[in-house]
Amino acid sequence: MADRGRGIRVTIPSDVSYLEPIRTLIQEIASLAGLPREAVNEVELAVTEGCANVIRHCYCNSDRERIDLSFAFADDFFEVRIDDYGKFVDPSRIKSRPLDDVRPGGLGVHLMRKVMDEVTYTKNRWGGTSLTMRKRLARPGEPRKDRSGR
Amino acid sequence: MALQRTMRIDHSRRGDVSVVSLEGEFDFHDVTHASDTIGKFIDAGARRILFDLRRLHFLSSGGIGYFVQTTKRLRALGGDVVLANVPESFDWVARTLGIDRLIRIFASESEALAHLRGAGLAADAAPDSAQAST
Repeated sequence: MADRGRGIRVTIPSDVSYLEPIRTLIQEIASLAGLPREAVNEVELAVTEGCANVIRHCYCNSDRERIDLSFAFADDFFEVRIDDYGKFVDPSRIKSRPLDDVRPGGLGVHLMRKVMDEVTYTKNRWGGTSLTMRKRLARPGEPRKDRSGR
Repeated sequence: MALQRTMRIDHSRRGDVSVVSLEGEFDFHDVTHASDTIGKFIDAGARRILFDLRRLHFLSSGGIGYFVQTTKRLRALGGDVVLANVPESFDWVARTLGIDRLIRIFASESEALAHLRGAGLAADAAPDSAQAST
């Protein structure tokens, strides 16, 4: 488990315009955690998709709610947790959309699972959903996860 | 308070092809802006659109979904959409989602123009004098 005492916590409003500064923050801290540039881009994408899903589906696009983000480090992974204060979403109901059914906003779960090594949903202490995503830190010489699935 | 940030959209024409260059980040935040701006080009008659992504440095599923929707709309009108100069950092995102099965992706603008024109390599056509930026 990541040492949360060594992590960084940020709270933002449920407003998509705040995702750009969050991506800038991720660039800094994921780089400090030792992620290569490509992996940093993937974490940026996963966090964007996770927060966008909270805003759209949990808060129904209201920009007056709150999202907590936690970034934590461990020896072999970088962890991001996104907490909302809405209604807990049953993980079994969170499904990737078929690729032939592409429309705006429907691909986030699929992308998160593609780019991160672990994606888990749990009920948090406020009754909302805690989305935890981990990116494994590759050891020198170790091949990266094949994201293409091909 | 929302933070102000807008993806830049430049529009020019190469014959009957509309070249739309996107600069900045294409996130959910930008879909409405893109729909409004590019929708005006379509309403004015644009049917074949080449999206030049060379100056785009972030693309989320919101942006990808927009491309798919616009492609469906234009094909229904007898037109088409292609992507060109997709940065390597998110080229795989589009491909791993299978977008390349729905939208043609080209390494260069000239190849994309040739495809849209339906034959041969693109001539070095100068853009029309009419250009727009938002």
